[in-house]
Formats: sequence, C-alpha cells, structure tokens
Amino acid sequence: MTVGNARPPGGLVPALRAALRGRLRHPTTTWQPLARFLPHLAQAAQGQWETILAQALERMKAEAADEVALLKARFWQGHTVRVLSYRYHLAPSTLYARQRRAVEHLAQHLWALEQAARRQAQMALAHKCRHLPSATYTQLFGLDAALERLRAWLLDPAGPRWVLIEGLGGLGKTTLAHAFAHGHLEHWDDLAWVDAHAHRRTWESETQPLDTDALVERLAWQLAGAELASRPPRHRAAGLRQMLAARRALVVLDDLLPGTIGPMLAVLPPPPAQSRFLITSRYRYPSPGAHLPMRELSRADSLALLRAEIHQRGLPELPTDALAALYERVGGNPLALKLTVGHLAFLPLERVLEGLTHLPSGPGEDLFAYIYEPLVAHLPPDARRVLEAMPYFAPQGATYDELQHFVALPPRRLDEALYQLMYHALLDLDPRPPARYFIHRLTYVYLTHQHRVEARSPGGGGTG
Amino acid sequence: MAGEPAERALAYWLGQVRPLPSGSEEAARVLTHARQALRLAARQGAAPEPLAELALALHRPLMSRGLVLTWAQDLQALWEARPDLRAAAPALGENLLSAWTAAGQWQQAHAILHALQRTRPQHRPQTARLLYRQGSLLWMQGHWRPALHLARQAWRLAPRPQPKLRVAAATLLMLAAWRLGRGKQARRWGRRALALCPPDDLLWRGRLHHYLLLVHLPRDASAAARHLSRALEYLRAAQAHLQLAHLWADATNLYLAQGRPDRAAEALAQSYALWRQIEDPAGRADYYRHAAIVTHALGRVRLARDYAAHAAERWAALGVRAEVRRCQRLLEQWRG
Repeated sequence: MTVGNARPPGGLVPALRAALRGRLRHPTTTWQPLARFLPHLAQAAQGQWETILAQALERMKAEAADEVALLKARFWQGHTVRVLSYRYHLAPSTLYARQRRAVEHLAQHLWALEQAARRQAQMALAHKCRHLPSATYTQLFGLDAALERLRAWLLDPAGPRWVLIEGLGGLGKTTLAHAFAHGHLEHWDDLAWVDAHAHRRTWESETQPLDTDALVERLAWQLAGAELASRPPRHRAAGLRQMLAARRALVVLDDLLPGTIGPMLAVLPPPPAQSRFLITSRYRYPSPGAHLPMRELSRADSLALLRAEIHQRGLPELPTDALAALYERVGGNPLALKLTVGHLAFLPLERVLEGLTHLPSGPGEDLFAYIYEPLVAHLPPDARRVLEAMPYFAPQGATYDELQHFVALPPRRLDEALYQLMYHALLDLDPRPPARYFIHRLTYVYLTHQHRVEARSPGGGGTG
Repeated sequence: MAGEPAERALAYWLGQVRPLPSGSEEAARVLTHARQALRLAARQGAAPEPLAELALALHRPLMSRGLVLTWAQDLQALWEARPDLRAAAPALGENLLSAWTAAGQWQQAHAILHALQRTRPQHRPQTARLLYRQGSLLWMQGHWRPALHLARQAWRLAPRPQPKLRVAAATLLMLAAWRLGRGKQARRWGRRALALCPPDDLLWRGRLHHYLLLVHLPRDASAAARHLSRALEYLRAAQAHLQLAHLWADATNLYLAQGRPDRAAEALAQSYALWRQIEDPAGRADYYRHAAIVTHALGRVRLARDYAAHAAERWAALGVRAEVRRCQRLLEQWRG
C-alpha cells in the first residue's frame, strides 16, 4: 500500500523505526533525525513531532485501525512484544512482521503529510513572491560583498530600518535588490515591490514618477488590498504603518526620487517593528543611514565576467593578462565588458585591444559608440533588420510573434538573427510569459543616435 | 535606414491598434509599444500622414483606458516637435485639448484652445467643434452656465450631416442643464442625443446611458436602473475603463436611493479597482466624494468625513470651486 503519489525516501522507514525504538527507551526522545526526511513538516509543525505523529496515526486509522492500535500499544504505552503476542494470540515473529508493516505504513502517511506541507510551503512562497518582478539575470557578478552587507543590515533585528542602494543607472541596483529579496523570502512575512516609475514608460517619454500618496497607495494595495488602499491618504498611511508594525515585511521601493524618500520613510514604524525598506535611487539622499553606493565591477569581478562570457560563447579561453588588458581599457561596466567579448568573435585580441587604445576620449558614450559600431556593422542583414526594429518597441520588449510580424522574416531566419544578436549581447530575453526580447538603454541610445545622424545626412532618407 | 523602419513601424502599430486585442494586458502592451513607435518615428522624421494616422488611432483607446495624462504629454511632445502635423491632421489639436481637459490640466488645455482658436479657419463645423470643446473644458471646471451657452452655440452651428458633432453638443447641453438643476431640459437633450447617436458608437452610447442614469435618478429610479444596465453593457463592450470607473461611482447613488448600501459599497469597490490605473484627477476626486456618501450610509461617519474632506482637497487643488462647495455641504450636514 502506498499513500499519495510518491513512495517515501528509502531512509525514512529505518529512521522512523529507530526513533520509535528510542521512544520506547526514553519517552522524551528526540525525533529530530526525522527532520532530514520530512523538512517541510518539521518546519510547519515547528518541531512538535508528537503532534505530527498523532496526525499521521489519525490518517492511518481510517484504513488500518489495527495497525494503529498495535503501534500505540507498542511504542506509546510501552507494552512488550511478549505481552502483545499474548493479547493478540499471535506468535512473536508474526507480531514483529505486523509491526514492521505498520511502521512502513506510518512512514507512508508521514511522507504524504510531508508532500502536503511542501505544497503548502510552495504556495506560501509563491504568494509572498506575487509582487516580485522576474529576474532578468542568470548569473551575478560583483554583488557578493553588497549582498553580504544587505544581509548583515536587513536580517539583523537590531539593524537599520532602511537601506538605500545608490548609484548611476545600469550598475545593478535593481538586480541587487531583487537578488536580496528573492534570496531571503523565508525571513519575511510578506514582500512588496513598487517601481516608482509606472509600467507605461517608453524610451522616449519617461512617465512621471509616483508621488508619495501614490507610492503609499500601491504599497497598501500590495500588502493589504483594496480596503486599505482606497482609504483617504491619512487613514491609508496610518493603516499601512500599523500593518508594517504588526508584520515583518520587506518593502522594495525601486528607483525613487530624493523628494519621496523622506516622506516614505515616515511610513516605516520605529523599532521594535521588524519591517524593513530597501530603496534604490539614482540620486544621493543626504541623510544619515545605511547607504550602499553601487560602483562599477572590481578588477577581479570584471575578469570573472569576461571569463564567463567567453566560455558561454564558446570562444577560446584567454590568459589572465589578456583579460586584464581588456579590463584596463574598458573598465568595470558590465554591458561594455559583455559587448567587448562580442568583438572577439570576429577580431583577434590584438586588434580589439588596439581599437580600444585609440578611443577618442576615455570611457562614456564614446566608449559605447566604439564598441557598438563594429558589432552592428558586422551583423548579417537579418540580424541588423531585427536590431533596427527594436527601438520601435517599448523598453519592456517584443514577443517573438510581434518581432516576426514586424520584420517579416520566416521563423528560421528570425531564429538565426535572434541568436546572432543574443550572442553579441545586443539583445536579451526576459523569459516571463509572454517571453520578450529587449535591448539595453545604451543600445537604444546608440541605435537612435545613429538614425538621427543618418536622417540628417543627405542620403539619410529622413523627411524632418 | 531612418525612413524605412519608422514607416514600417507606424504601419505595423496602426494595424495592431485597429482593432486592439481584447485581453486587457495585451492591449496595454500594444498601446505602450505604439506610443513608443509614434514618438520615435516623429523624432526620426517620418512622413506626417502615417504619423497623424497612428496618433489619431491611439486617441480613443488611450483616453478610454484612462491614460489621459500620459497621452496628453505624448501628444503635446508631438505637437511641439512636428508642427507640420497641425496642418496634416487638424483633429490632433482637438485631441490634445480633450486629453489635457480630461487630465484636469486646465492651463495647458486653455493654451491649446487659444492656439486652435487663433489658427483655425472659421468654417462652421470647425467653429462648432471648438465651441463644444471650450464648453466641455468649462463644464469640467464647474462653469456650467457658460458651458450651456457654448453647447447651445455648438448645437446651432453643427451641420446636420455631422451627427457625431450634434450628439456631442446635445450631450453637453444635457449635462450642463442637469448640473443647473433643469431636469426636464436635461432629459429632453439626453433623448435627442441618444436618437442621433450612431448605433455602432458603443462608447458614446454607453456614456449617454450613464448620463441618463444621473438625469433620471431624482425622479425615476427604475428608469435610472435601466440606463445603468445599458451603460454597463455598452461600456464593457467598448473596454472603456475610464467611463466604467465613473459609472460605477455614480451607480452608488442609484443603489443608495434604492436603500441598498451594501450594493453601493460593492459598486464603489468596482469603481476603485478601475480608478487605481486611471490618471483622471477630477474623476478620482469625485470617487472620494462618492466614497464619503457610501461610507456615511454604512454608518461610518468619521471615515465618511475624512473621505469628504479629502475629496474637497482634491477639487480645491484642481480649482473647481463648485465641487469643493458640494463636498463642504456634505461636511456641514454631517457636522450637525
């Protein structure tokens, strides 16, 4: 007989048998070894093993009441095999065989409870993640120290109530906040994530960032629903404050302007409340507190990123001094490093380094123009056609179908073009359904600047 | 490279916007992409005709989804960056005026109105349209008497072969008369507008039934209820989120009149769920006034007063004194 869809793991029955025997010798014996096989059950019941076993026995009773009676008599009431053999008119060997079967059945019921607890934990986790945007990264570089710092600050009950991640766009502030939030979900009762810039943003027109009232309203909506969110602002802020005091919530406020940081912090209740704000901003906020400035990648992290990119694209490995030479010229901007690796696909290292040496004026947009130009120029026509189409989609990106209709390429040619663009880090894929291809802001700036130059030139074809 | 992708993009997004996918999220995505394509193509020097065509096609879906401020900003940028569009598509100026009006940005709306009045050749239909737009702007600002006067002039000048303009003028006449307490006159204009309204204009028919709900409510709750259900039917079919948000808020009046405060609370919640995504500050202020009345009917007087005070603050920020007074009257009633 098996209970539920899956058989219990091999080690559970011996562990249960050992625990039951231990109970026979010492009624206060520890059941902890079972936690190895039943981790979700142990967590849900918070170590109350007697209650867990009582639940499993109760489930088992419906189909095998005699086995439950036997287990209880043997391991809870402490009767010997001899006494029970006499009571049931059975040979001791038969009783042992019955006991063995009963323990196996009990293990199956415990396993079924474990599966249910696991499903419940997954649902709870999914519920907690409901406002967390999908990750747009697969591997993190250079964030270990920053993540460690966030852990030290935000997971410490006596730590700062808020942390502000500051830095220019593109340095990974949102990625860091996401990695921290996603990596420590179990620590919080709930998680809210509000992007201060609404989703209607296009490349050409940044929408107005949300003001304090709107931010509070969104937070209230995420953490408490319409009932609180629809209240007048004073009630809403007070209700949110109460809620943040009563629960341990992590609130991520992404891309805030300095003007809204102060008023938002006023919503955060003082200790002993355990809710925390994690804020990202492109601007400095001149107030004492936990500030985490984001900078370009260090030399070591840049080299690690270069190695990973080279490996991912199947290019021959480069010695450390060659990687260091690339880093010396490009700096620690992750996008610039990735794009530079794209050059190595069609140029020898010496030529790439030589080109980077003759940059007009240090890093910045010139650097990107230099890096983009040969990449785009060497693209096959289909890939170029797809890349030129990308600026006509909003930053959220285009689905495969949209791209196909837009560029009017047959699927195989479009697939090849997408592969080329992703290989050169000119295009990324956000796998959240519906999966979308998108470009980096700097790619957009490069492409539309090129367009502008060509539109002004005599052969550009522009009419404006 | 500039011309070709820009014009392909305009044609592509025009095809996507007409008709929009029925899924709300998908439609929102298409509209955002189309806005991006419009702005970039304008900057890249695309020809005025396809630009104007896409801009005109985007107006209604963006307005009825309540993205009025976003759209007003987009259109304003287009208006400034591409003066050649003003001649190619005169309706763009009117759309811009209506977007600023709906966004409660009176100053910008008046600036565009004056620009249109200065530059427009004074043909009868165009004059009528501008009179109607000016009347709508004044109505929104709470100046109902001048709005009535302008709507009457628009009605007189609107040529008979242009039913949409006549319907618009008649609708404004109904609304202005209603706000001035002339119920009989309002009902008459409402019936007239409904008779003239093209059967396939779901949005406008839905709006007319919505306004007729308001006009009928003081005298005939069952007629008001019939108009509510017709309005819901039309506005849902037209995916008109903004008008539905207004409608649900106004439906609370009907439910309260029927002695069903719980149903009114449900309607209010429906309204709020839509207002969350909508950029109409006047509508939002009115939502809070309705919330005050419903909350008071449910016996939560203190919360009701806070709602009313907040509604008054919002109307004051918009400079609509008539609405501020309406909220203050509620506060005075509930003080006693």
